[in-house]
Amino acid sequence: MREISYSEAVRESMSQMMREDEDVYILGEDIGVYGGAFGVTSGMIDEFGPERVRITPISEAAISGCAVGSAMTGMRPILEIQFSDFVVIAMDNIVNQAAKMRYMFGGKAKVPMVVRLPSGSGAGFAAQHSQSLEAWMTHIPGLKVVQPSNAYDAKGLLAAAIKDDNPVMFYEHKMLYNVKSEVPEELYEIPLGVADIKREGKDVTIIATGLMVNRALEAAEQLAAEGIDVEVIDPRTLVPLDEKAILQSVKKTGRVLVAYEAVKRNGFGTEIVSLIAESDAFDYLDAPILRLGGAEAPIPYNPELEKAAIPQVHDIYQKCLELLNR
Amino acid sequence: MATEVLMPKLGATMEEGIIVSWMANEGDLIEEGDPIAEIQTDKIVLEVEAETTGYLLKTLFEPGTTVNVHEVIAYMGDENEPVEISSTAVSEAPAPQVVLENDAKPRKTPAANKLAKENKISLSSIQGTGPNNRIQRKDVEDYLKQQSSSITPLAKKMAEDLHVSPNEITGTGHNGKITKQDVLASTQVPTIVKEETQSNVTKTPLKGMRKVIAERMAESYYTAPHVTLSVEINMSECVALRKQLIPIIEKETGHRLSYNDLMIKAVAHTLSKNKSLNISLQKDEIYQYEDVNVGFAVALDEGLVVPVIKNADKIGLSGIVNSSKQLVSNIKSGKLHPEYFEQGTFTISNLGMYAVDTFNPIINQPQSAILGVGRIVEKPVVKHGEIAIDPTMQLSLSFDHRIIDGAPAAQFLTDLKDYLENPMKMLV
Repeated sequence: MREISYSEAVRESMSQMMREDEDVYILGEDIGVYGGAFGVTSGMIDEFGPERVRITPISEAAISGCAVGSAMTGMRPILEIQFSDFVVIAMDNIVNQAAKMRYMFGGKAKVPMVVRLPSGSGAGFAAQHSQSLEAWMTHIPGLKVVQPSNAYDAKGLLAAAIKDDNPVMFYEHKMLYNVKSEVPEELYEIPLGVADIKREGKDVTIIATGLMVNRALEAAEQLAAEGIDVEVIDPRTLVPLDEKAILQSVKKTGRVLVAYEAVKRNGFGTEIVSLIAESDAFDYLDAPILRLGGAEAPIPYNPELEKAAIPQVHDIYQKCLELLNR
Repeated sequence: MATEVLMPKLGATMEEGIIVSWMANEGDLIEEGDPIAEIQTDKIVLEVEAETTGYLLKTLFEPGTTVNVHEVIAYMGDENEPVEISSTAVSEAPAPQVVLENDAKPRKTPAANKLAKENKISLSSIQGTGPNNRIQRKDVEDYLKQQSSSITPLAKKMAEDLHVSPNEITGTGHNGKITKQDVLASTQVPTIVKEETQSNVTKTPLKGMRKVIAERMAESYYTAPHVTLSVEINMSECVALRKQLIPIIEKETGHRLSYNDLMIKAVAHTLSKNKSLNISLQKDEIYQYEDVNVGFAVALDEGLVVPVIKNADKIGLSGIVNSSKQLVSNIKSGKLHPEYFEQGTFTISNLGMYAVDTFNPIINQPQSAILGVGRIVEKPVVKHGEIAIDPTMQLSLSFDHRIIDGAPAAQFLTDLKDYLENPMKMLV
């Protein structure tokens, strides 16, 4: 199968959906001729024109307000927040409007919009352009939260997100945009709420999200060389969460590491740990559940410090050994 | 508030005790110092005495139950006082170290807990290998595997010795484990049947001191490969020395110097020069003792005890005489304090008062050697090419061949012979 990059997969998914459904359109800052801050939308204005590729002023409040309004009238907007950090300016529209409308109007109104959010650190963009704030969004009933870790998942999950009648927060990782994987040419959907076992194993379960899925797989490779059989679970969507897949794996291995890039304190991994502790999988635990998360500090600009602020492959490797008392 | 009566810790190595019997009933008034229960340790049976005067409110265990040290076994207090049984065994344990031991619940993972519950086994019998001794699933699995092998190492060895297949033996131990009793029972079925047909047979249950002795003897005999070396001693010098010393020591201590005291002295002296016999094999470790603590077997109506004279190599003959007479008199009057029997590193079994010349003694485990002493008898001996009549005595040294080789044991016996035939050398 052909290989394309994560950013190409996102673009392809949007383009195919726009060809299929006239109501789908994109809006955001510099997404036209410039192709967006990360080039994800490059060339789309040539195919779809400025009507459906709408370049907006630098105001996340305006972009999100526009999107919520047009979604309620029947359009399916995909808005790009240039850096996911800026979503906080759009918070009122997303939290108080988009997430609530369907409930408050008894289902008579719906808000089928997708908010695309390039997130995460590693590219030297410093504290205001490198955060992973997805846990904020998972706290709001009415929002779905998606976090694909490779190109294949990104394309299928985005298609499902666009078709969903609820607001979906779609977290793309900046460091994954150039990572290629096998992606079918035709349009396909990956249903929201279905986790993926990225690697099967029996000794330890790593539940990882976003970029950490890739690092967990690298660590698993190294651990395999030492005879340790690691299972890597990628929830893919945080809301809705595939609890069954997670708990099944916990029951199988009895040892769990939860790895996420967001600040460890109150990151989404904390929710996963709570889920396990409350469930009947508790009885299968054979070691305390461990977490790896980002440092409790703004992401530093210095590249070495930036690296130190979030879990690296070696950290995951070490934690797995700890889980096995090795 | 009701007072807790605890299983006493009667020695450094005591981990648990068996309640042999209750010596008072619930509701009885007990004076301070009165016995409440009979407790059997791995060495002896003795009584737990009341520390205060009060009513025995509640006994918590049936006779025959094994209880960990410092666990509550009964409550005392005012007449008809209600008793609140605390679930943690210890509240006001005497030593702080003990509180730690008993207070700390075993650390265990949920997975270990679940597996243990499913298999109806107690986690208290499992040693955790995780961090902070946490019991993990693997520890339980290993335990189960060991259980499923379902025969104790001792029973296995006995079964092999007796040419019995473990498959033909029904286990009566924990989870149907085959114990040495089961092996013995399986071989003795015909004998038992025969006995039952006889009319004038008295049957006594094996219990108390007799049971302890039975178990310890069998265990020693079946686990430690015994080798016994014998030597004849010319006792003429010793006999003469004793005659000289009797009045001197009697004046100082008020006791008569016995051959047994001389043997203790000579053995202690020889042992201090041959420390390679002053050792013990416990589990997988060899203990080398610096102190020479010599025990000597004392026969009682109900069995046998071995009081110990500590540092016998460092005290003079009158010291040995004093200690041994004091110990024997206390024991014969029924005072069996556990500290009398602890920390022995070597045992002397003296049958010299009987018409016994020589015998093969069984090692008093966990010690590694024992000396059997026969009677002193006048015999013709060859001295400087001529036949003379001298008092002679046979010694036999049994040693644990797992950790003591023949040569050091032979050296010990040679040195001992030298000291007994030339007792002046002990003064040097």
